[in-house]
Amino acid sequence: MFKVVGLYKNFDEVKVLKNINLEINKGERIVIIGPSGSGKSTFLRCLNGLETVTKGKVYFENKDISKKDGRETLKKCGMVFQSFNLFENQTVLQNITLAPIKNKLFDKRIAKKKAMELLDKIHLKEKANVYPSDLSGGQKQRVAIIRALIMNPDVLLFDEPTSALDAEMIEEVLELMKEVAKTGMTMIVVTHELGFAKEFATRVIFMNEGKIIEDGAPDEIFNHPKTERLQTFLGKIKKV
Amino acid sequence: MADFLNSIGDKFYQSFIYDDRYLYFLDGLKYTIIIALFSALLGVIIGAIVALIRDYNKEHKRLLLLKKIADIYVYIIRGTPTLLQLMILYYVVFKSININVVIVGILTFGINSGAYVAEIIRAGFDSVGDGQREAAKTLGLSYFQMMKSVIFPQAIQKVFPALGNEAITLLKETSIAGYIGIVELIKASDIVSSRTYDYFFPLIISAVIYLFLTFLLSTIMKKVERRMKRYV
Ligand SMILES: Nc1ncnc2c1ncn2[C@@H]1O[C@H](COP(=O)(O)OP(=O)(O)O)[C@@H](O)[C@H]1O
Ligand SMILES: [Mg+2]
Repeated sequence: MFKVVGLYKNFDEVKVLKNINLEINKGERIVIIGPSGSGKSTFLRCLNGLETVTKGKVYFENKDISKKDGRETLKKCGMVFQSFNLFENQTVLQNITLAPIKNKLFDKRIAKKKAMELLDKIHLKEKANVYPSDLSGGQKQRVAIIRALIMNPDVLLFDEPTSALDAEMIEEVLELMKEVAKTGMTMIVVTHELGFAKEFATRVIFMNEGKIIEDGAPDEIFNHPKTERLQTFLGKIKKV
Repeated sequence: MADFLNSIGDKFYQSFIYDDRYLYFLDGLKYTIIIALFSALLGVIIGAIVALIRDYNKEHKRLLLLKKIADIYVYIIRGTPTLLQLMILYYVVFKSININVVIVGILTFGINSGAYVAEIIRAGFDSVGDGQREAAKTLGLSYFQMMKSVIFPQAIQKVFPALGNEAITLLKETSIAGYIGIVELIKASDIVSSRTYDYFFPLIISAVIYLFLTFLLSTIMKKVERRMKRYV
């Protein structure tokens, strides 16, 4: 699905990602953990072309994403952001149907029907015609998730999808993500919710200072951390 | 006292009624409105295009030449007096071309306003924030689909009051069109003054008309602004 080869990313003088090599296969659910500032967001954004890489290659479905046809296939890679990023001038329904209609995935009528079905699944049907400003954070994020889903993506990236939420709303978003996981969707999730990570992930990656330090099954990472840095990181999180 | 009122009444009569002099004001008003209206339209079109070129360049690092031209245009317009721009267009650019002077006026004020509108719209684009742009990108929307459906509507809504101010500024600025011989409102009152040897009433009449126009304009803008506030 994704293949990352010798990836470096600098912002001017700041070296953020240092030689990342990675292969991600279809159906994997990867959780990326690591201290803030370690380059997790930047890495996700390099995967879907929101950042241009400084050195190295990113392949998506065997296509180089720095090339035109690679960029085209990235339409099959959805993303969910920490700050939801719903279109504020569009109703919930319009938010969901805009991209599939413009991309000629479905015609208007079918897009609406699918959107309403999805809204029904997350129990927000009655919010179809309100603007995002009328939604709670948890509702916004769930709408953002189905907005990405309606595009029939092959993979979904999540960048701290619950970090901007009040505690009581975190669960509803994590639940929806688990629902999505049941469909076999490939998912790459940056999160600090370690409890969720343990039961959700098929693979966990620990990043620190722009490098992948550990990469393994949840059990290995959480119960048998090999490096001191991961041990320290897990220790810190547990105390919080 | 009666004499005083009589003389005031007479002066008003002389300035406005006698010899159908109100026609001068009406004619002047007509040109003021024509120039303001069409140059505002032109200004919005130029401003939007310039803002889009700069934005596209920022996002895609392309159209570098157009972007440089846009920057220079804004820099020159904002750095020189409008009167000078008017005179350059009239006496230099269109010197040897037979062109209606009103069109020269519309072009000048339109080109002038475009630079300010470009800056206003740019501020509007910036106010929308990168998050929604990134979401649009990851949903496979093209730059123009994103601008049309997401960024532009929000930007315009946010800067609408500033655009209203620019329209009022523009309306008032058209008063210098008299310099190149357009008989707009001020020039009209000037002509009447030269007939009556009285400046008071013609100028007061012009002032009242301008106040009415700007009042009308800001009322309309407020109405439209309120209608646009559907979300937030
Ligand atoms: N657009 C940017 N410009 C400059 N520096 C950036 C930019 N984005 C991220 N960085 C820097 O890159 C480093 C990693 O950031 P980020 O990828 O957001 O880390 P994380 O998501 O793990 O917290 C930080 O030091 C941050 O300041
Ligand atoms: Mg981050």
